[in-house]
Amino acid sequence: MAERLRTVVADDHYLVREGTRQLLESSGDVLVVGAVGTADELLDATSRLRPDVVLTDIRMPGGSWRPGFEGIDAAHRIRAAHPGVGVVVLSQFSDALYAFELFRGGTEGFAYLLKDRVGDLEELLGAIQAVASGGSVIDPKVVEGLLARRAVRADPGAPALTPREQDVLREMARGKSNGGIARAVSLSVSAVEKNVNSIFLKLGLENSPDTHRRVAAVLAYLGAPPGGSSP
Amino acid sequence: MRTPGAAARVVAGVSAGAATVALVTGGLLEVGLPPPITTVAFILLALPLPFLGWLVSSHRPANRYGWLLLAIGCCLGFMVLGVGLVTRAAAGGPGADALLAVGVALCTMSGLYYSLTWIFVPLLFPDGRPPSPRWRLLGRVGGAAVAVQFVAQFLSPGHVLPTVPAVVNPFGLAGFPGLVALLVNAVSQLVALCCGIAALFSLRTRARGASRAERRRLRWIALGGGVNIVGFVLLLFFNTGGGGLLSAAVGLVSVLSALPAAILLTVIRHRVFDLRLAVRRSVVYGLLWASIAAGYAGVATAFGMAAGERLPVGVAIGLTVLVTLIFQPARARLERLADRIVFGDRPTAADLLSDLGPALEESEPVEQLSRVASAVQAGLGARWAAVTLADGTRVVAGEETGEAVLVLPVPAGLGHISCGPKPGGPVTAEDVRLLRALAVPVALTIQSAGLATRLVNAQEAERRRIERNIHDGVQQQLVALIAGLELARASGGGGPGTLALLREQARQTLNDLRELAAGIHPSVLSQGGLVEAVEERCSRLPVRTTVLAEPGLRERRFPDEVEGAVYLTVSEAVANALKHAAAARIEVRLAHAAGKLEAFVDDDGIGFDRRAVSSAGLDRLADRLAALGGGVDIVSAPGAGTRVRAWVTAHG
Repeated sequence: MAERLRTVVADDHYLVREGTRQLLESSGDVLVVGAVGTADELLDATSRLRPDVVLTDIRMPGGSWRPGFEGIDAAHRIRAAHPGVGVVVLSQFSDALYAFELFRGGTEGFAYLLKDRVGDLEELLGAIQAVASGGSVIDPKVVEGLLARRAVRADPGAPALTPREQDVLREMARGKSNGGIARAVSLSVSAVEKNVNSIFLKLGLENSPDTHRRVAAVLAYLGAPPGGSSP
Repeated sequence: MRTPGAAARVVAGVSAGAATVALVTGGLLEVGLPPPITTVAFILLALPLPFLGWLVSSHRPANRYGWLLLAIGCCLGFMVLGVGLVTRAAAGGPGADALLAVGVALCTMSGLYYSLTWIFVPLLFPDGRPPSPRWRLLGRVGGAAVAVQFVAQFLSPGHVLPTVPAVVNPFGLAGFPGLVALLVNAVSQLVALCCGIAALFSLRTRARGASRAERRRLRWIALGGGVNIVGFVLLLFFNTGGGGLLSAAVGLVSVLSALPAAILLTVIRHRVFDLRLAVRRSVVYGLLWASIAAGYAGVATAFGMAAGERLPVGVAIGLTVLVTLIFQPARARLERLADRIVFGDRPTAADLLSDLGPALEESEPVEQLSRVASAVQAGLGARWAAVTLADGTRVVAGEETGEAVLVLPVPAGLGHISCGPKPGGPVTAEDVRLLRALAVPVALTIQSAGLATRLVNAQEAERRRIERNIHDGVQQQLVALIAGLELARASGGGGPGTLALLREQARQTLNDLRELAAGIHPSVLSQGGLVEAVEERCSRLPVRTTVLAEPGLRERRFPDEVEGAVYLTVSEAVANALKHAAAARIEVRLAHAAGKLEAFVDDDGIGFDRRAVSSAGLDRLADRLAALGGGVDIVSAPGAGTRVRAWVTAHG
């Protein structure tokens, strides 16, 4: 059995913190080495305990942090100080604004998940494993929101994605490889490749086999204001 | 007529000068030196007309009306000169025949004088054009009648002036042609008179669709024209032997003064022809005031003297003081009347306050202050007025030139009201009283402005608190529940079906809570701004929705209460479009221009009858928007979709 991933959990809510800790430990893949309630404690625990992954709430009270952005700012500081540590930010906000804030300086090693993912152990573990190896994940619900936003922004010239392509895009944003996407949407790997190529062609983006760079590209596209830098 | 600038001024000056000289010379020739007081009065009464003609035509040469007045003034002047010459010629002496010929020719201008005055003074007021092309016909008929009458009068036999029966018109036709000339003269004069009466009715045409101020000017002209015609009839009566000297005097004064006085009044009070006669205004007022004071002093003195002759000194003095006191209110009232005649209907404090009330009710705080400032400026007739708040905010009405002549603190140390110089005269006790009366609503306005902002801020804070509670409280608990359930499931505790069901329920609750939180105050609004939040809201709708935001608006941030109010209105409007209108397409537009943040929500739904349906949600939001200096209006009709427009004042 592979070595368990050392993880620190940060959440100001006791029940959530403990529930998450127990859930992760029950999987046998993760070892929760620390559970803290504030962003300051999280930084301290990260320096002391040298975890592989940090799982943090987006909003925690106290300290001299930007109100509402404590988890995201702590995530950036952790990645800056310890580039090997992956960070999963658990958020109660499905608004894409916070995801963009997290991925502002790059997507590598960051995951943005909605809190209800604690009800899906597989998904949660998948994100933890992805960031531990420098990958990135965006919650599919956030991607959905971004696509919807893209649609309401009056941008008649933009090419529309087919529903199938949107499914593939969502899975891509989860940090999945073509093989993973194929399993998730019940398509052949070659069909997924075709869809991925078509998406990148439509979005005017450069394709890349590297999953976290694909996430970054998709994000960059979805986040660009209409008529802005996106081609 | 369209000679611009200097040339026009020269022509106007020369004509007016000639008319004046002709008037004075003619008047003096008629009666000889020294002139009796009646002649002096006549000349003084006649002079304003050429003066008015000169004033308007030299300052506004493009306006034909000035030239018309000048022409009439000249007719009057030469007519009087003609009368003077005829009178002299009747006395005989060398060159009497030539004098008579010239005099008779000039006298013929009397018909011109009347006809032009009757027809064209009302018809062309004030821009030198008839009110509509229809009225041009009247001008033509009148013009023809004037011309025919002029010729007919020139050729009419008989005496020229009733005052000089000995002198007979040397150009008069004899026999039957003479009779025809007399008849034509009378008929054309009658036609001209009828045209004049019709021209008075043209003022009604003008009044229709005119502003209240314009209607007031027109009323003056109508009055002047009417009095003039009545005066002419009185004179006619006198000339034909009826009526006494009094009717002649009244008639003459009416004919000479009514219209010039009416026009002069419109110039002074209503700035017709855009002439500013600020200095003359105070002169006119001064003259009126002096005559009232003199009359008052006269009454008091006369009574005192009369009493002094018959009564002991002490009693006489006492009685005089009593009479003085009794007449004091009458004097004050007369002065106010003079003030009103010269300066127009200056509102009283009560007028101002009752006008200000509804105006304040309908406007937002900062605008309220500017309404107050305007009210002060208008009420006092000052060049400018300003309301200054304790925090330095300053709202000015009018053009701020010249030092403040009056400064009054607003109660409770909230600031002060100041007002600039009055072009019409010095500051009076009445002005100070007016300003005092206004200080109270100003204080209330300032206070309510602060109150409204505080109110909205408090609401906003409350909403934030609720939002935080939901996110950090209930929602977290649900998250914990989900985690617990998942743990139970993962570790094989409980039936999998039950657990999955529980989990779904928990998730549903969470979703509902999220919607609820967004409805109360979307966090994306405070973090990402209005456009972000509106897009976010609209992206969750089940129908085709587009959000169009003005370029640059995405980055703009407005005060929390402004963003909150607009967001909630848009949110409510799209919810209505979905719930009630069965819309298939919704378009939201956000724009910021001229200090106003606007949101439009258009849908293609079934629409509704505005009178029959009201939205409690939108009404509540209308209050909120009104508190922020905005509002909401809804345009809808059954089958025609709905457009909701909401706006708030948002600077910066």
